Amino acid sequence: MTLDKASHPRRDSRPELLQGTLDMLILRTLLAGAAHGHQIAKHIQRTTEDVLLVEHGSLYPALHRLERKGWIVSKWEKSKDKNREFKFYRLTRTGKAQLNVEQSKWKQLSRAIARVISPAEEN
Amino acid sequence: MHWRRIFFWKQKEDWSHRESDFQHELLVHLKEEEEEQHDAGLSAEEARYAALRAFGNQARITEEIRAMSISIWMEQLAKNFRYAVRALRKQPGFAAIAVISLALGIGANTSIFSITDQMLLRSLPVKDPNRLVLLSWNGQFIGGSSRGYRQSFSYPMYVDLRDNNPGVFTGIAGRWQEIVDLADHGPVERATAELVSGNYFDTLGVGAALGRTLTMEDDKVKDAEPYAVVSYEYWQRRMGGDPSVLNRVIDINGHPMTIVGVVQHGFEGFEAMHPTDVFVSLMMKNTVTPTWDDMARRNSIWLKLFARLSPGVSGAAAKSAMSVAYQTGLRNDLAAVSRNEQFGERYLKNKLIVGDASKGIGNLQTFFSKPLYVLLGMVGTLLLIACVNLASLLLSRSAARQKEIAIRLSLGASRKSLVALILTESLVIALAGGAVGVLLSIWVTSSLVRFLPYDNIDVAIHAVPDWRILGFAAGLSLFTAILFGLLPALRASRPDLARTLKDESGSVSVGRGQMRVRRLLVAAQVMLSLVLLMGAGLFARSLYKLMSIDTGIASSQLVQFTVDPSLHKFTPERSRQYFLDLQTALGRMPGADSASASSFPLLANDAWENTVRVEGFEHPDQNSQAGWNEMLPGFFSTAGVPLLMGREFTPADVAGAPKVVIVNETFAKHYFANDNPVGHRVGFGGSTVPLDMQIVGVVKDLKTTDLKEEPKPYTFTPALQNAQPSAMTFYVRSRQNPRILGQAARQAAGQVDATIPLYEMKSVEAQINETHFMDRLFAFLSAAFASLATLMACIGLYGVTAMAVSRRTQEFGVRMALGATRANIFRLVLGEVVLLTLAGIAVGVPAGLASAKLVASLLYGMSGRNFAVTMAAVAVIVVVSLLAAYLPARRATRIDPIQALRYE
Repeated sequence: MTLDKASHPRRDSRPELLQGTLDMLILRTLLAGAAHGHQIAKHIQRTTEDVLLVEHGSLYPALHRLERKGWIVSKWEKSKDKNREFKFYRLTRTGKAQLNVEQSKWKQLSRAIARVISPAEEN
Repeated sequence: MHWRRIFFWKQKEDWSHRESDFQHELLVHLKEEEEEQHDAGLSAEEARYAALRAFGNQARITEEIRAMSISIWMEQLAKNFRYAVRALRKQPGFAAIAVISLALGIGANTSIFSITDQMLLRSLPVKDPNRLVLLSWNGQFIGGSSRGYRQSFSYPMYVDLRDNNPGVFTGIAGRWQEIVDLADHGPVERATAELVSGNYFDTLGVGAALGRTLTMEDDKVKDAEPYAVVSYEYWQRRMGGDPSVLNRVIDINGHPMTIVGVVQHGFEGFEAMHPTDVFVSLMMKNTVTPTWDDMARRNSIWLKLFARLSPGVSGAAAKSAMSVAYQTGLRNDLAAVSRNEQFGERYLKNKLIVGDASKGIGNLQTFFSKPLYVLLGMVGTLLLIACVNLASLLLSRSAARQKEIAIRLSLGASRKSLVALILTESLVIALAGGAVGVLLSIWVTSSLVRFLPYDNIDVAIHAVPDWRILGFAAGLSLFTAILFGLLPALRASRPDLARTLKDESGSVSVGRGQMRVRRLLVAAQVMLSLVLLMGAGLFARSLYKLMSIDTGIASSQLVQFTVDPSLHKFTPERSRQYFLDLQTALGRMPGADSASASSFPLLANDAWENTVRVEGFEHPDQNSQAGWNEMLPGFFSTAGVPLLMGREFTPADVAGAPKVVIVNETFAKHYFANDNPVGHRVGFGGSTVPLDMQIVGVVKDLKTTDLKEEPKPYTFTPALQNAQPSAMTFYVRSRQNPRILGQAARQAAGQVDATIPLYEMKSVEAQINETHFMDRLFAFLSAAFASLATLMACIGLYGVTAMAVSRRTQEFGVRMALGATRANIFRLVLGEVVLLTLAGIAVGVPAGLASAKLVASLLYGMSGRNFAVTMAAVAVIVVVSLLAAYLPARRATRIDPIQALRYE
């Protein structure tokens, strides 16, 4: 977990993505099938109804990191609908396993946080 | 084989490839975003900006990804490193042999390089050392001189050169080094003083750390410039770096001198190997050398000169421009010293020589340069053998790991990463070897330096390595790791997968190619060891010859020491009385047979020559030089030099009595052929000097300066007839243990006069050992290096034979089943070793003879082509290789055919 440099509250109401979370979201996106960088970004944006805006500044290093860890692989391929080559990312088997780990970790974490934020709702 | 691409190159290529790949990906992304924005209704321009805005800082992203790649690479390296260390710790035997053999090689190289660097390669720590030149000359010479006279000038000649310099030099400086007695409000100590001309520091461009240096202002009034400047090192070592040292008065040979400055750090005089402690103006020469002044004599040649070239002037141009000034000086010489015309003509043809002085100069440097390069060659060979050993060890190790490697490869490890892994291992070995080697070199260097019989040499040569030396050692380690680790690494990473994995017995199967490489390496080791063995044999034989030289002196049971009362304000009469009293006191010691003294110590590389005129000998063209020394009465009987004719000096041969001289056998033969020289007259000097000395005796030839000198004419005069006696070296003959005798001698001398210190007390045997220390050093080092090399070759031979035996176990089994006897098998194995050894010998003998040519000048009384030495070296190699092969060969004979065949 990384802490943001700015200590004052941000005006933007859209939450910042934590680093580990982005990795998980990328893996989750790729679970549906191969996608290129732009598609991944758009997909995350769309499915969260524009709450999470993926900054490209974090997207590409993240993709690179995941590839290095062997959780995803990449390949330049022609897109079906467009006559242009894209670098498509795919989930590997270890990537899928990792996604499961991340998801269960995330569920634990969010439940824990929820308990702190609104203890009444829990009961 | 794309070995070039495998490690660094490949890595770099990947990098740039990856980066351009990423740039392309970003472009595609931007385009996509742009089209989307355009579809949403923005203009083409606006869409492009919107896309860029959405994307953020491209450069930062690239940077982040790049940093990630580097950190991953480092992580991989660290992982390989840990793995290598773990793997080595599991096989401590292998690791120890590899590290130790490399450490020996690197240690020896580092220490010889360190000495070479400090003695020969380093420039003087002065301003622009490349512009410094040394003045010397060749041709005829006038008058008396010590050794190295062709690098010396008379003081008047110096003044002629300095004052007639046509501007080609910014300055010509003169200097003279001498040992003095120095007292700094405490006991008297020996210190090295350098007499310098006023422009010395200015010409060198050396300043003061404290106070000032000496200047032309200190070079004006003879005997009245009592100012001293001490070296930084001496200031730190002897004066504790006391900042209030300025204006302190010290005693030099009993005369007060005021310290006016401390020289800048690092500069310790012109001769790096003879560090100077205190600098004094040449005007104070009488204080530093109280027994000889010679500042006005044109025929006393002693002052060493150097100069700094003016900007834009070359050494050759300076030489021709200076010839006028030199001619003036030569003419002045002839005017002052009467000689015949023929001589004058020859004398005027003398030439001034301008040579490089950027590294300062010392006889030591000239003396050591050849030996040091030879030593560098020897340690280089040793390192090569160590590396070959390492390569061979790594090969057998990787052979043993073939299975592991095959498994890794089939599980998807890339060949590149495997090579990196194995190479990391040899890197770890090399670094460990380098580190141990550097520690070893500190010890080796300091012991070697202590071996050198020079005062203060341990101050001049530092054993603790500086960054240059550490860089050298690190470079050497990396070089060996990569050069000799790469081949085994490449071989190991290419096993025959199917075969290796199928082989269920777990035994190591070794490819034919690998056996060939290992055999080649072992033959190379044999060859290199043989070269070193031949060298060791030559040096040992040369030393033996040197040690069996007859010095002409009965050197056992003889102890020597030196005194110099002239440094303690003794008048000549008092000095002479002191010498006689000391002689008597020493002779009366219990156990002492006799005692006497000479003014030049025997066999100490210190000598003087004179031109002699001999009655009845008129050959003006012949060089009539003769060595000279002077003695107290009874010297020759004390030293055990037989008197052939006439008599020895007696206490009656004193100043005022008729002047007498004793000559040696060679002198008698040269000047008198078969006549009896006793009674004839001689004089010191050219054809016009009076024949004022009478020959009273002839002694057998003895070695005077060093063991290697050829017999030459020698003259000996009574020390008691010298008007200005200075230092005397006493010799005491006794049946006592030298150490006990030394203590007794100190006591006896203390009773005669307690203020005079005794220097350099030692047995004459020790002194003789000093004269051939270089030969002993070489014999010792070459023997040590050769033994190490042979040991490593032995390990190599054992390894390759053992491997061959295990590889051929089945074959031997079959052979035995078919009726081969154990002796047959034994011969089979040994035959292979003999073949390898013979191959090594076939190349090694010519190589050894060729390298022997390079060291021939260091040998005494023999050439490099010595049949006995060559044969002995070959015999050692043959015996050692048979010993190395014996164990594996025996193992081969014990193979049980049934078991061997069952392995299928």
